[in-house]
Amino acid sequence: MSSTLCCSFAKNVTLRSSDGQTFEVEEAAAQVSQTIKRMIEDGCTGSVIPVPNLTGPVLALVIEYFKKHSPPSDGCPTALLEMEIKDWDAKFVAVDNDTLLDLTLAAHYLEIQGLLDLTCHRVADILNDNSVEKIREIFHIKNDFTPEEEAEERSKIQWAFE
Amino acid sequence: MSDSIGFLPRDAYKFEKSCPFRLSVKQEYFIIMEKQPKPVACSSVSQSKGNLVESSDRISILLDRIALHILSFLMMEDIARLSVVSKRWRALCISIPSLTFDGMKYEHNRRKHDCFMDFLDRFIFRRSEIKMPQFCVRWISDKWYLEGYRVLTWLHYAVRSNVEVLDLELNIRSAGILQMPLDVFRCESLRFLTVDLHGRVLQLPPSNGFTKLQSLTLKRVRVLDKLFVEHVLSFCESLNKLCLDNVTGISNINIRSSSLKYLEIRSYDYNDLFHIDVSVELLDELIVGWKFTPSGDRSLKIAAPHLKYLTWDGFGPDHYVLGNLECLRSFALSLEELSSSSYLVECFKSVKRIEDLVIHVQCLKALLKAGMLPILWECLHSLRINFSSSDGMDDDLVPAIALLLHGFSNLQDLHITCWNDPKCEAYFREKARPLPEKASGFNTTYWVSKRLTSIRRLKRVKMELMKGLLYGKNSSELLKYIFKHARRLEQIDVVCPSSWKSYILAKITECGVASTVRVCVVCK
Repeated sequence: MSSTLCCSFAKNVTLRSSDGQTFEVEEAAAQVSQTIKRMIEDGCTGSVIPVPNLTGPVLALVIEYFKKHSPPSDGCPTALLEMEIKDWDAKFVAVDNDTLLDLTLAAHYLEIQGLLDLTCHRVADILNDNSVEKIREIFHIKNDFTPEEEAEERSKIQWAFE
Repeated sequence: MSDSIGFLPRDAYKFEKSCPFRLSVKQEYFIIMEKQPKPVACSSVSQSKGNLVESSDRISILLDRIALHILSFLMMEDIARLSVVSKRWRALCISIPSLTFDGMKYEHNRRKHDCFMDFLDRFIFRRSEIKMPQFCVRWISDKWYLEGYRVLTWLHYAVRSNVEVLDLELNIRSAGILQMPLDVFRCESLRFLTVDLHGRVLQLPPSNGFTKLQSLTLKRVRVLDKLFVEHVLSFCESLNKLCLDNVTGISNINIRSSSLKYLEIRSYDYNDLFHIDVSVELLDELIVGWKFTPSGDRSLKIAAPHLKYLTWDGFGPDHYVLGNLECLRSFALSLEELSSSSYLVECFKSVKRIEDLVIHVQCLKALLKAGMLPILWECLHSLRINFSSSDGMDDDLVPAIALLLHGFSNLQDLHITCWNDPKCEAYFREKARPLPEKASGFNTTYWVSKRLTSIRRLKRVKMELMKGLLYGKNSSELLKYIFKHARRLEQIDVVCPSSWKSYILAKITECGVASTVRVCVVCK
């Protein structure tokens, strides 16, 4: 790999969001994203790496995630560290719904499995905690059932609402 | 390959963000590199335009793949409710690839149990043959004569949907026997199968089957055929993982296989198992957990020349042969009782390149008695010493630990744990093994006099000061010694009762542990 040719200090890469903001981040941290990892391996570190599907604020959040989840320099992560990261994760996704969905998409595009699981789990919790009406309201989902259709659907799963 | 890495085109994403449209989910996504020509992106956007669907909701713009991933975190009850949110959500709910039908929670609610079952019948029927890589059924039934065929119908649908991973936990209280359906037995797509029958009988069809199966786990299953295991192995040609967890009804387990890499045999509550004989050329990992009421002649025979990981806990049988273990890298020997140590000595002589060792104090005492200590293992970097709840840091144990540490000059991790296995506790309560009385005879001066080079290299130490380890001073003296002399320490983890916390923290400061060391004291 190219990093072996380099000196010992941490190498950085620059990422550019759709609105032209640039962010510098350690190469090892950015490789939490499989997509970016492949690009680095293909030798695109010389120039700026464009991340055209993410806006500046979302990319800034993703980079925060990178930093927290970059592999520790001194070998394997410990149980204590894992607990700490878990707490951090929980706080990280305690955001408004729009940001949460942005992060979900970002995790998908950048292939960050950990972040994708985290955000999807959070969305699942929201779906779990709210009534059908509330879910439609939170996520602005248009109810395309006719009242009769909906009544029929509901009657079949009455037990699940108890 | 950098021009087509699962990305959404720049403009398309803006679309998603700002316009009341969503992109077709089947569209291919591309990332555009700085140097790459733009047409890649343009073409994919223009393709998608034909498929733009009007929708103003944020969650609906999520790709189906992501939406399904979200749904995979939910239970069937939530899925049922979500299917009335909108038509798209109804369609998504039906197409969830991996399903778990868990009816165990309605054990005491007959009506909900029946409604839930009706729902699942309809649900799986509507799915038709949408691919189902994973299917898990946890079901409890008092009326198997009425419900059995319905559960088997679900399995039938799973087979038709090319199920690869099938996980069955059935508590069929009213029926004694589960006949494995022929189509599951012959299923070509099935790779991983787990069956837990809460002690009921499992019967297989008389013909050949499971030919593509890679992993089989049988848990709490009774079998009638004395040669059940041999038969299964004779037709599972691709099996590389086998787990027999409390399989009852057989007195001899003979494992012969040319494909098996992983084998796990556990038997804790069954007294009629007498002989385990494993002879598998390519076996990588073996786990044996065997407990019994001492009676009769029991034997364990292992012939696995390529074994890398061996875990053995429970009680030692009267006879055991562990064979050639030259390839062994990791050895977890946690026998709480062993009648004879001479075989153990042989085994320890044959292994040389162990990197990880877990040892129970009872085995350690046996090794000391047999004059086997110290063992010189230069590759060893991780050592864990297990204590049962009733074991303490007795005075006759401390020299054994010192000798053990003496042999491991490259040790980096030391872990002293106290087992909290309720089953084992109950067993020892019956036997009333006395708690250690003499457990204060060795202070730090003793440890210093041993000049242990291994302590100096230690990077991480973890100690669970619980149960028997709280008696006497030996444990805390050892800890103090480590705090003071392990100069390369990076991490200290101590688990102790809350009344001990301040004492431990004071000792850490007193012994001059460097501030760079990560310290964690957890109270239980």
